[in-house]
Amino acid sequence: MAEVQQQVAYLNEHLWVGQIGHLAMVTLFVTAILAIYSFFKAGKLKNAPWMNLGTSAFLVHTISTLLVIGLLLYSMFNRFYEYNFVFEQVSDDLPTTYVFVAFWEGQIGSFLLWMFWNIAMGWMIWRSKSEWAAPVLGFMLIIQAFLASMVLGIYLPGDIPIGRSPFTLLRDLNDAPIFSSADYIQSIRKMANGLNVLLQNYWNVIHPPTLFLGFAATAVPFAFALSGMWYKDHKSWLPIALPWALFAGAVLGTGILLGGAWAYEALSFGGYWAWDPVENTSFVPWLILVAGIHTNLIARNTGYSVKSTYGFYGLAFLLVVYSTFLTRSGILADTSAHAFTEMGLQKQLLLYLGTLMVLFVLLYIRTRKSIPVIEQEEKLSSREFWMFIGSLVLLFSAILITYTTSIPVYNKVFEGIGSLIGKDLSSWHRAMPLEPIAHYNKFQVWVAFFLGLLTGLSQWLRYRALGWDQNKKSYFNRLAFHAAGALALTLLVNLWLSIHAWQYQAMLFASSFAVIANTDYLIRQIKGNIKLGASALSHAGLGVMLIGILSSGLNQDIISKNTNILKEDFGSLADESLFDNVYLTKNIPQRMRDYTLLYKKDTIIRNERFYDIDIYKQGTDGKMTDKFTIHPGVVYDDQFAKILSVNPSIQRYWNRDLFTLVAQVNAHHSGNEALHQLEDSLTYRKMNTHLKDTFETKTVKAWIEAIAFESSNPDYQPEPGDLCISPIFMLESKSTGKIYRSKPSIVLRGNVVYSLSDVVNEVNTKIRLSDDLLDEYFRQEASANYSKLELKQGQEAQVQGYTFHFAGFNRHPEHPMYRADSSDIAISAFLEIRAPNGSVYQAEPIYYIRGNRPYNIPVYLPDPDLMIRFTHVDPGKETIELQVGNDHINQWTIPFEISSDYPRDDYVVLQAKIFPGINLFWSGGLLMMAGLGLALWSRKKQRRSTNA
Amino acid sequence: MKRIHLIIGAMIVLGIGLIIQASGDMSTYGTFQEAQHTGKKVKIVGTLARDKEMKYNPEVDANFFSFYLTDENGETQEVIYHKEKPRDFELSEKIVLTGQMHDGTFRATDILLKCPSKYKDEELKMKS
Repeated sequence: MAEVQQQVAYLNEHLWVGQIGHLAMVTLFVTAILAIYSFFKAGKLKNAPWMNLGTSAFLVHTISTLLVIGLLLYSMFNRFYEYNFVFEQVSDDLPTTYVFVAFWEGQIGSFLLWMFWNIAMGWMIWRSKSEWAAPVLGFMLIIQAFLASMVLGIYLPGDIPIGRSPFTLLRDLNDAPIFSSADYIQSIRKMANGLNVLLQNYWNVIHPPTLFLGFAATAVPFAFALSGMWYKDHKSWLPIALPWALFAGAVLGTGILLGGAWAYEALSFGGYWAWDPVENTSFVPWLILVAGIHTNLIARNTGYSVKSTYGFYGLAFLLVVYSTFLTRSGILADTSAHAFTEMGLQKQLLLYLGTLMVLFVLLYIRTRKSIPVIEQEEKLSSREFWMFIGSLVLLFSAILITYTTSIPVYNKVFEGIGSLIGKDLSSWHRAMPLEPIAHYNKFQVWVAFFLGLLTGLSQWLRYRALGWDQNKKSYFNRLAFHAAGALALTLLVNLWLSIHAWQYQAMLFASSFAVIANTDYLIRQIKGNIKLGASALSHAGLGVMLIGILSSGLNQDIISKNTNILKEDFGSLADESLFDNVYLTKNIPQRMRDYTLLYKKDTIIRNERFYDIDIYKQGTDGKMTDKFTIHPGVVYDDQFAKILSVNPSIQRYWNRDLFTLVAQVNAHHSGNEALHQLEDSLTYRKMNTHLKDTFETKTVKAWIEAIAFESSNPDYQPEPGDLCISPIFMLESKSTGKIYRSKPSIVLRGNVVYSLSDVVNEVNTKIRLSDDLLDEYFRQEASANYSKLELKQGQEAQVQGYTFHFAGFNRHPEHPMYRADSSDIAISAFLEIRAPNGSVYQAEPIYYIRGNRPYNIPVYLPDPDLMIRFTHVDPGKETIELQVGNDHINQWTIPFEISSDYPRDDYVVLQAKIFPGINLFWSGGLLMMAGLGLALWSRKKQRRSTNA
Repeated sequence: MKRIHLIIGAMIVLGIGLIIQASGDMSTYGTFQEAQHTGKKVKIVGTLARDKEMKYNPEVDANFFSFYLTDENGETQEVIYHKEKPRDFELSEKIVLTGQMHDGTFRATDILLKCPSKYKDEELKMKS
């Protein structure tokens, strides 16, 4: 194949992009290595030439990286589909805004995004000109070199690939006959994957960059810690690293919150947090980072906890790398709802993790002895003591979460050991807990409890227990006051929420305590000097967030739950998570607790189908208290072949959200694939019948009442010259006795026959007419014995014993088969027809001219069996010409097909939940991040003022 | 011995205790036979028995879905799930069920589907 390809001179390829790109890739990798070497030399020798060399190398590295990113974006914007990366990420119809999203959506792009932020962090460190810059940059670039190796795409001797290059050509990756065509790019354009529509939303514009900036920022305190050990200087880096850690904490935390918001608003997970492995692995580094921030504060203020600060900053970034390994190696495939494609980078990722771990541990062992330890113990009444305990609680939380999340890793390890010793150890394999959410909650409720109490307790203590003896009394007084306040708040919240488990009551009390004690601190202690309020603000935010978790998580209320289920029938099986859905039929109101739902219609916009559902809420007195419309929807792929995802609809109130989700759509809305399958699976019975003859199917007793020559199908747009025949079926339901009308049509337009089937959902019936009906019509028309008569206005004439009276014209005729056009000349004739037996009928046939061609729309009178056509107007003689014939419709054989197993197409299955107090969760989270940001800002100010 | 060491020691002991407790929550992948035998809640990995009937009729009950699953021992059982039928159910390569046996059928409380990845290189070959 490769030989064949070389012979083809391909058209429209842009190979220069790949050539430059590959060169830049190698350059950026080599310069990273060079910079590492130079920066460490510079750090060791404190020598400016090495520093300058390192800086130059880093500069070239930066330019090369930006060039790689730029080239990729350029190829994506210009749709250079010859590159696999472009082919997989974009398509012709992808909106320009989402090209960036497409860039970082895949693994390669996200590594490059991470590298981009690393570089940004690196230059900020460089700018500080501190003596720490050299080693910190050295360690940062080690991380950078590992990341770069993931996208390098070179081969070591022995065909060992290093990374996956984004500049690989599609035709080098695939063996397909299409690549023997020189102009293959034209033919593959349409096949380009493009960005999954699920990912085309604004959350994906902001969430990944924030998260990766958080990752890059977490590497900075890690690099400082390594540098501190390398220099055996365990003091002076601590205050410099702190703002970086605060920044990392704020950004990573915001990234996680954004992920939660995305999951809640746009995905179908039905909440903002589900303890999914992918969520956990980004949360755990944050917990450890926050623990590190606390020990860093202790170390800076008191000299205690230096070792722990090393440990936490080290662990935080190692956990980031561990998370990268878990989510990108494909190891989580069996346990996570998030799908990650595996790229064959496991070994490299493992090497990355292993190297950093070994580096850290070796440096620690080497310098451990030189780390200062204060012999005297922390006092129980000191702030640092309780802060340290708090950090340990965070560590605890992280260990427990990681322990369960890592189950797939243990299984892999057992697998490895098993294959090594030649035994099957699959009986050692473990699966995730049966109730994962309950499992995590069970432990983390105590973490929340202790954290809540500790934040309140320690806020009012002072470092080194300064002035404790004088303040002791007032401290305990205040503590009692806060405890009383917390108890009051707990009781208050209990009026609103129903919390049954005592563990959660304890958590509620601790959270309330955090809110009260920290808010009191904000009010009384800092006296308007907001810079001093960062920690209290964060911790009050934590308290608010925890209460929000209790209200929106624990007290979420599925209002669509079927409460009619007899729990006894299922015993222990009546799991709380079941029976969540309500079935809505179009235009039929459905009660759901104190809500009434009315599914009105569905609309398709782009590739989404939205269901308009009106919701009325009744008060206790039965009066309507609220009315609104929700629009939950489903998302199809671009071909409408199938449903990719559902889109929730959220009705927001200040104190709660009403969250609705389409749980199931009817088969007809499930995409074209399902629709074709459905059509194939229907069984139709072929029948011939006559007017008024009754026949039966599985579900109905039926007959044809009449035949109309127009259609009421909403999809049908009449055109001049159409012949439309629509028998009117009456269907009497066998189960309810109700009679339904069905009016399928067959239309002849020129030479083309359209069959417009009709559906009666209530009796699962679909009827479609056979083309033979047209033959029957023409056969009957041929023997209809038409007679012609010419009449002036007011005149009468006799045909077949009937007297026709031409009463007048209508210059604006209306008829379902006639759509007026401004250029038409159209008239209808008012006719009065007297039968021999004295009965009188009225008819209004239409005659019109459009584009020089005459058309007529006849009238059929069933009782006398007369077909009346208005065929000509003679302006000279002022007469009209009518044709009157007998079509003998009651003798027609009407051929049709009927299915009695047609699934209903007028329903949707909905799930509706109330999240009480969810805004507490969001606002608490934001307050926490704001507190971190405030701390960062005030540190900067402080340093600037001390420097000056 | 310092106070902080005592506390750390206590926390380590507590931690080990909690980890052991957490391990108790971990489940193993079982079979229908085990589920029948123990009557306990288990996780079962299997494939959809495509030749058997699959029922989901939301008009009658939007919270009743039944199908047949063949576990790794090759045993096929009827499974009842009191929720909507999951999307792309038929496309699943592998199904992970959580639930227990009751009255001769397996009552699932959770279903996790493993579907083939959306973008496969074969697709390109097939199309071209």
